[in-house]
Amino acid sequence: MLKMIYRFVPFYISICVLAGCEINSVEDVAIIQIGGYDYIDEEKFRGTVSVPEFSRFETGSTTSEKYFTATGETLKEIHAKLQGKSSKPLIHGKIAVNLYNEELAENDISFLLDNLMRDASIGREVYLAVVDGSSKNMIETQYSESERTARYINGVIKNNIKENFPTTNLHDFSYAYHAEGMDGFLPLLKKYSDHIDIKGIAFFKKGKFVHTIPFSDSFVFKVMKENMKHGSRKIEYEDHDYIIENIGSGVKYHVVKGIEDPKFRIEINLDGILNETTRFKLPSDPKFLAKLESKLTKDLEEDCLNMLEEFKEKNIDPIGFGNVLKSRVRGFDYDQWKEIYPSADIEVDVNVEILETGITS
Amino acid sequence: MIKPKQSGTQAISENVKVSPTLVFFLIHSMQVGIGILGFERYIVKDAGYDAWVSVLIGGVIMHILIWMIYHILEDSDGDLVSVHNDLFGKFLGGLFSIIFSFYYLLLTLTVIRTFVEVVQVWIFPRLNVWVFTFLFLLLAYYFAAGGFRIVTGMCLFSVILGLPILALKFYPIQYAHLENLFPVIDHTLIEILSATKTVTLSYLGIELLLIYYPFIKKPVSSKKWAHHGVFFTTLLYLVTALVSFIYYSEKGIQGVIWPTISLWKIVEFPFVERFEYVGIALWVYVILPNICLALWAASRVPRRVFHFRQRWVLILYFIILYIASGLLKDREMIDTLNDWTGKIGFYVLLYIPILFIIQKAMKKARKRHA
Repeated sequence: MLKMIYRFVPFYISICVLAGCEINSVEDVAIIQIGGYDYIDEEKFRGTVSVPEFSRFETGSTTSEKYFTATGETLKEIHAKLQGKSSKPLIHGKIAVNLYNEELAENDISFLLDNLMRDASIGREVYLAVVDGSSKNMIETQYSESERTARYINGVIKNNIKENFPTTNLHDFSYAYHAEGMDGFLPLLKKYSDHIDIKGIAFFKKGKFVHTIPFSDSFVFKVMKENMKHGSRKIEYEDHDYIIENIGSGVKYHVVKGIEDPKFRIEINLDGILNETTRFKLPSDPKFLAKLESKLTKDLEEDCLNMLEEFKEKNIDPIGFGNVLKSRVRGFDYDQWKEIYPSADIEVDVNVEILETGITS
Repeated sequence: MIKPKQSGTQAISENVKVSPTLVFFLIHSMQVGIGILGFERYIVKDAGYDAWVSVLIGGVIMHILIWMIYHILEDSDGDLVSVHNDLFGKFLGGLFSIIFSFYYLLLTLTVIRTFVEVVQVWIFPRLNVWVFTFLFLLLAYYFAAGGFRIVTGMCLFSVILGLPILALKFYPIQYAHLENLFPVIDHTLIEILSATKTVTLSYLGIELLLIYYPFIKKPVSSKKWAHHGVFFTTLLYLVTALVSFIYYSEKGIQGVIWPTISLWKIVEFPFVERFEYVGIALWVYVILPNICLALWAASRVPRRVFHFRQRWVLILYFIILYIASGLLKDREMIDTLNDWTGKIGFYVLLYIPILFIIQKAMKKARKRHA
């Protein structure tokens, strides 16, 4: 009997002690859900964080938040200063959104990205965004009675990714950042008095914000960038507007000619349904839909080419042609590609098919 | 003249042996351990995203080695110690066997210290290494002291508990950049072979078969299970490597120290925000049989050579491991330790074919003289 106990002692000790862990109650820590950084000057920048406040009494209102702001030259310095202002330890493991103001983004956000990637407690589905204006101001505004700012901004971005906005999160951005022959992009947000709008897409060269397109063009970018299942696009045809809802589009990249004189062809196949028009009835012309299809095809091809031309002018490659070329040819030389990219020849080939026109003719 | 089969194999009673099927778990669970958490990064450094070919080549080499190990052991009908005694005599053979014992000890040390580092970096940066390793080793000691059957049971559990984690590869696959894998084989043979050399560290573990072979009932029928085990490991590594390759960019993966754990960051459940904590906790079950089996094998050798009591050897090794892992302080030292274990492990694997040839040559010579 004694021998049995003696044999089990190490087992029990290990079980008991190894199973113990740090206990942090939600009430004892301040959980940062959103952080924003603003540019001050060459050396300094300002960090703002918001933490939810849980009320002791069940008053029903759960949206109270507390904001902390500090300036410094490094992230660590800012964190230390923020920590000094809080009565509870600040925990950033649940951070959902990180904002950078335009000036800061223009001055390189690589060091902030490095911090996010290095910290073991940060997830990968964090949204990063560029703010037109001050990110402090954006964080410190309450937009909704029932939602906290972090959740609200998170919702705005998440909701648009399902529609016209291309997929983005920390993983996607850092993937493009590290990849050879691909540049990243982030949503560009703007604050109005009581709401936030996605103003457009902010394109990056490595960690520097260099180019932007308006939100109305993000459909064009998205059909070129990825396969999508939602989103809608307006066609102007013979004094009327028609809205085509995308119910499934696919994109393929073809390399027509290799690295010496690169030539690409983007093939986009789009299935859509017509779901709104400014005229009451569709004309009875049997070829009308075909005409509409060719109009949309022409519009899209033109818009795509214009957008690609802009990208080449700014020397950014958000579509990732370099990455495509690397996977298609042997002995890809990244340095050579960087030289050639602005003069690369890109064709766009769009096939639109309008499948249905709704439940009235 | 040395008489053949004069190896002093002690008869191992039937009730401490394990069934041949379990060799699958013994081989597989010993191979999979700490290496799988970060091997992608190292092989990519050598051969870029063609390194998955190296994973396959590594697997094939392991199959050949398993075949050799079985040949070596069948001919002598004992374990490594009896093979060494047969071929090199008592003193030189004993010395070689003891070197193996130290190698197993090194393997144990590498696994335990690297895992403690993972816990330190990912979960508790302020973890007291001395206290934690003591308790962890105590657990390992408990299993190893329980004997081979207990250790085998641990291996079985570890494989079963580790398998569901594989299903989570689904999440990173959603972010797949399949084009990363193309063009296929854009690297030279030399680069691919040097990645194969690197990947062997992750495949280490089959050489323990040299020690536990006498504990298998009907060893001949265990052959196929050993090969199945290696095949399964190869498959697992291939999937792991491919998923990491399509999830990270080629430059990006080289900056990630543990690609497999970082991969878990993208896993999201409504009830678990950050899966990597769960993953690392589950990984204890994958690590534990590694430590137990290697520790058991390390302590088994001195018992066979010097006829010490295994328990005293275990306690001695426990102390050595405890002090050594406490003294290894930072990333740099642990990286060096892993590097060295990989190198030594590579030579240990290289030693198997040499042993195989020596044995075959000896056998032939003896036949001629007999």
